[in-house]
Amino acid sequence: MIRKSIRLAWTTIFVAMFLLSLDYWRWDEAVIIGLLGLPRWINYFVLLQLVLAGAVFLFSRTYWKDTDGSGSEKGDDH
Amino acid sequence: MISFFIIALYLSVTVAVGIYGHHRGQKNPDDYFLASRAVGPLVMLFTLTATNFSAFFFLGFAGAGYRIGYSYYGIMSFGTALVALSFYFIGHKAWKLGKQHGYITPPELIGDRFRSRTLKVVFLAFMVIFTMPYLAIQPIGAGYLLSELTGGAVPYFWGAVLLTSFMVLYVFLGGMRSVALTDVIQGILIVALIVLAVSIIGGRLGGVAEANERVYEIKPELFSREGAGEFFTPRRWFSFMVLFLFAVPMFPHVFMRFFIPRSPSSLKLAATLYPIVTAFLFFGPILIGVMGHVTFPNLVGNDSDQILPMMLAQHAPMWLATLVMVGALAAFMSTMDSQLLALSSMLTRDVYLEFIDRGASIEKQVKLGKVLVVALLVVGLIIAYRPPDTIFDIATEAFTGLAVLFPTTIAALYLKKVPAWSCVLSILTGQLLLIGFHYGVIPEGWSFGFLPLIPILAVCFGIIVAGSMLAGMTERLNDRTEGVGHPA
Repeated sequence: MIRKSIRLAWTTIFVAMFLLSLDYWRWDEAVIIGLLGLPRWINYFVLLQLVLAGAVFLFSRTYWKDTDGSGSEKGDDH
Repeated sequence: MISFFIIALYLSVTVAVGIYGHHRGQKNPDDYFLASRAVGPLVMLFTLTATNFSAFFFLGFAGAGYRIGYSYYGIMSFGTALVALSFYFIGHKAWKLGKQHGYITPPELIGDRFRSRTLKVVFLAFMVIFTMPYLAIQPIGAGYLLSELTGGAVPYFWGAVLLTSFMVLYVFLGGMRSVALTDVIQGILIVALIVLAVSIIGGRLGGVAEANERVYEIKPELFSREGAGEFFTPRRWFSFMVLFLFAVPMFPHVFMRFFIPRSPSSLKLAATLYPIVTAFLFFGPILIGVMGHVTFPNLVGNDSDQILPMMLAQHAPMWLATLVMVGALAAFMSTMDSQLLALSSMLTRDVYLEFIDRGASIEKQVKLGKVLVVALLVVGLIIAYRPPDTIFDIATEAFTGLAVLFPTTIAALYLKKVPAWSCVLSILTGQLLLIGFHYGVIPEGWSFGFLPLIPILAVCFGIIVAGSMLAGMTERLNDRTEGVGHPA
């Protein structure tokens, strides 16, 4: 039961990250040029990837067990 | 002269690794196709990275950067970073099942999970069909590179033949062991040399900031969120994000890498570092593509795919340009060698062993695998002879065709009671819809502004869910009928 809740939490986190990559609120903004002459909105995507790496790291340390398939064995018995 | 020496040195190193792999290897399919399922974390990271970063990365990215602008960085970098999640929800499960059941190819896993030969063949067929055009991108890229480097002295097609021949040699000799080891070398070269390329070109243009300012003056749309020509609408953006996550794990050369780790630790490291690699590495070719407007302002279509070698030829001394091009060659070879090996393993195990000679000896399987590597190379070169569209266009169609296999893969790994027929129907319907959209039989408007991938995937998943529900209802009906027929 606890593991199911944790699985749901991680799923939510990663889906949220996917949704954050759809930064539609920025679509019609004027371009602001930042470091190295690059548009500033690029920083957002660099940060998002670093956050994703951090999330995957935590996930691999806390949930992703070496012995399991997905936290449950549901898919194993067709 | 020095350019040829640098290229010859690099090619010699790769062949040497091939020979090393040949001597270290055992002569059985598990070792030839999967390096005996014993790949450690660091090699796993490099092989998953390098195998995915191809001519599409070096040339296609630069070309798209030239045509679309920095928006392309956002979609490619994060879209690819998300693929790291599949190392768990597909990779880990596939690894575990592969170890338990001895699977070598993805169709073996799918066919065995559903106990369906038909599904296995259908899955295999489309995996092969949609990998071939993506495989052909590599010699196309190689041909462009060598032609540009030598100022046309080595014609495009002969450059493609020459470079792919060397690559086939180390694959032929050492199989996955050599492929994985060369991926480490090639991965290091890709990183180091793309950084060098940006430094050289940026330096010659007065610095990256200066170059960007100049481009912004002539083409500000390249800096916009939606890209030049409003290439990305919100719906197309969403579609491309989904495309990479669903398509990349379905590349047979990526999928098969899920079978090779020594333990899940290898996958975990790769999954953690993958987004960091994409965050920084993907800048390089796109930056060069955008800066290309300073020197070559009016390229169109396929021509823009050559912007990276053109910029190097223009701004760097020949030997330095050649050195950077070795990085590009490394990228294309690291992908094509994996694609050839994956396709050869599938044709050996899923066609020859299944339908022609079930009792084929291990030695025969390995020999056939090697012969097929050469045969597939020839087919790839035939496709590359007259490259049709831009590298980006070819890749997008191939990606969609492979993404159609994703729902079936999820069903194989996670869902109970999904009948094989619903997966076959899902795949065939998805591919028919793809053809319909491609040739305009299905109006573009029916994708509602998304890439055709989105409605296609919705239909594919829907068929599998419907099949599962139908199977469940049938089972309950049968149970009730048996209960009526056998009173207590």
